Amino acid sequence: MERILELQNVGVCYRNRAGFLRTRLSWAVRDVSFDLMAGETLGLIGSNGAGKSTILRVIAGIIQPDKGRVVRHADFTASLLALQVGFVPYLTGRENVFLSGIVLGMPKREITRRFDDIVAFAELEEVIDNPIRTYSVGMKARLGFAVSLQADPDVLLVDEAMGVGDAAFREKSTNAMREKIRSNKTVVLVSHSDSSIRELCNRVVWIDHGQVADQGAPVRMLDKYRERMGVRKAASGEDATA
Amino acid sequence: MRTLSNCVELIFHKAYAELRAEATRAYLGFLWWFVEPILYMAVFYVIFESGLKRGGAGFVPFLLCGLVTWKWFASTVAAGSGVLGVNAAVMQQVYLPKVVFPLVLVVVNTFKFSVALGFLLLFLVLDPRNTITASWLALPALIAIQLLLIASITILVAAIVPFVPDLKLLLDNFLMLMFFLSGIFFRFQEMSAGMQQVLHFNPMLLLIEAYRAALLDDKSPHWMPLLAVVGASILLLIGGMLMFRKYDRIYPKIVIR
Repeated sequence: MERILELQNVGVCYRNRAGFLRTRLSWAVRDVSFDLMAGETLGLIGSNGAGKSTILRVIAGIIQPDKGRVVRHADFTASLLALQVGFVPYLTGRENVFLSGIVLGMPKREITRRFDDIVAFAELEEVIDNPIRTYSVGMKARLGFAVSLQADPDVLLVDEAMGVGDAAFREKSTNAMREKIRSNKTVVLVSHSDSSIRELCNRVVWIDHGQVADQGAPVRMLDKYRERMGVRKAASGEDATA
Repeated sequence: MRTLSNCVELIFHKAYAELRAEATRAYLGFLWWFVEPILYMAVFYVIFESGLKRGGAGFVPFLLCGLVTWKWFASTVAAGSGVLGVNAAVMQQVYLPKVVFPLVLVVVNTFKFSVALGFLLLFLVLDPRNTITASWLALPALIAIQLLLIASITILVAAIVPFVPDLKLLLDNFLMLMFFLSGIFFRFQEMSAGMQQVLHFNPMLLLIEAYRAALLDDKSPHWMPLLAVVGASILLLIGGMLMFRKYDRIYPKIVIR
């Protein structure tokens, strides 16, 4: 497989205000190196606050690392599966599809061409010309998912977005996602679900406190990760099975 | 990478969405774009024409020329300081050139200004004391210069304030100071010579004087000082654009919602 992206000792820090004229640096990502291969689905696992989402933002080009390098070995587009991005409550579903699509980088004529598919996928044909502030949470989520599914980057970055809306739609959206992931598309998937990671990923990078703890085959990484988590929880007196 | 045409589509679609959203929020809807500037002008008309009896004949058109153009400038620049914060959620989910956000603001406020300007011109046409003259032809050039000035300052303010949020408070008060020093209520020539020297560096005063010369006094504006405004605006614009280029992928980290 061809290597398309390489993170070399990447670190990202945030500046927090700490009193009068003073700031404190906090490193969300300390030292992360890994490669991304064309066509693979790479899983990122780790506890909350480990830095997984920040790494996705670096790969998407949203933020620039404060240390280390991001080397692109090929020309590609990478973006987050961003749901409901740019949605305005007072506008109609139709207007929001165009707005969100353009924010996601799609040309307007492309959105026009795929508009009917988007609305049909979201199952909102009846209410597409009503303002989305009249939609339920689930309806908005469906529309958001349907739009972002159409923005088709070369590298898709997914952050726990599996399953949106009500039960029936969750299955449909999860299937659509999985179909994308299983195709030849390059995907980086952040998930807390063992079954998704095991089923979808070719390789897993385990992030712990902003550093790569280990990387390798999904099953082996999950076992190691769960084992470590179990030890931690037992040490802190919590129920390890919780 | 995003194409330029996508960026242009983005700017105009977001501007349209903001105007639409603003219109749908209120009962009167888009009528507010017309009602609001009329009310704004009516307030000053009532106070100065029938209330204070101040300034003599022609004071109201004189005042409105200053107020309408000042409002375009001040409301855009003031909103520029918070424009990245308002859009923090979007910029943390998707990469887009951040300079788009102040540009959307400029487009939205320019649209609103064009409605207000339309009413101002209508008022001037209907007012029997005024006549349309050839000097009105200077108007498009003056609007273009003011647009350039507003865009350059708004972009620069939007670029700097996320790094030093305290500047927002300073800016609001500075705009108030400028409001009184832009010759909206007084004639530039009535000021002391020393003050006139200082005020020559106020681009909005120069522009307001130029609008009045063209619209009210049938005179050609003084183009030389306005050329200096154009030059300074271009420099500021380059500075702002360079900052946005340099910190484009830093802003999503530092902007607070």
